[in-house]
Amino acid sequence: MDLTFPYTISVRLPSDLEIIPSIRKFVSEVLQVSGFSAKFAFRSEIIVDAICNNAITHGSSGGVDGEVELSCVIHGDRLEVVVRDNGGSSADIERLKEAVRRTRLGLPLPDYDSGGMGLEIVKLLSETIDINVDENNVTSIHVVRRREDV
Amino acid sequence: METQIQITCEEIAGKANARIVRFVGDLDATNVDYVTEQITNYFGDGLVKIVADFKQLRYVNSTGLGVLLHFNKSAKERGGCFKITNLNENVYEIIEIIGAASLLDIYDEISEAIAALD
Repeated sequence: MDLTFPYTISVRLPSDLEIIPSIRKFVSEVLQVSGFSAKFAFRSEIIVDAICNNAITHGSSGGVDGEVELSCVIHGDRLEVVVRDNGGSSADIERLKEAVRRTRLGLPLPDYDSGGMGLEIVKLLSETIDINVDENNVTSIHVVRRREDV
Repeated sequence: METQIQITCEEIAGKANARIVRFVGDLDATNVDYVTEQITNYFGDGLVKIVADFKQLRYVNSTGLGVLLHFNKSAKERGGCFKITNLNENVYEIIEIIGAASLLDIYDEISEAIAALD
């Protein structure tokens, strides 16, 4: 396939965990069609799963009537993943802010629950992870993962 | 939505309180409740020594890893074990990355795990 990089896949997801398996597998298949290795695709599947899971579980207004926006920018040498949601409870926002602080200081993320472990795995599998919460509590996680074979 | 994992259970000759439990599919947040219920039922039936065959387990996410650690702990608390075999390379790598490889009983082959049952 003769693809021109970069290109973007964007999708708005309902706030429902059941949608994640289909989405993560779709991203994995697109990456392999785009020439990325099966290992890269698997690791990217883990990343997409973890940050979508986090957004649906802790963001998107606590998971009720919310929406999560996923964008994957596929470059020839890397994948960028951005997930945005419209914020969760104040406790969720504080949790993410703490995650931002720890990520910037290079500290391990606290093991609040499996969501905390998910973000820790994302951190270990990616070159950069940037978590932002704006003044309207819209939260976004931006992850960059480079391919190993270029 | 239909669960993306199947679990089957098989007796082990000469081991009354042990079973091989085969996992087929993906273990993630959409089916951990189902898997937890199944394994907890085995524990409740006195089957506290489990050899988990992951040969056809394609994928495990962080939620799935959490329940594997939970099963390992619960089995030991009951005087049993939760031994994992036949991990694919990708799943093993994720377990290793989070530092759980040393916390779980992992074997290359089912025969090795069965031989290690008390």
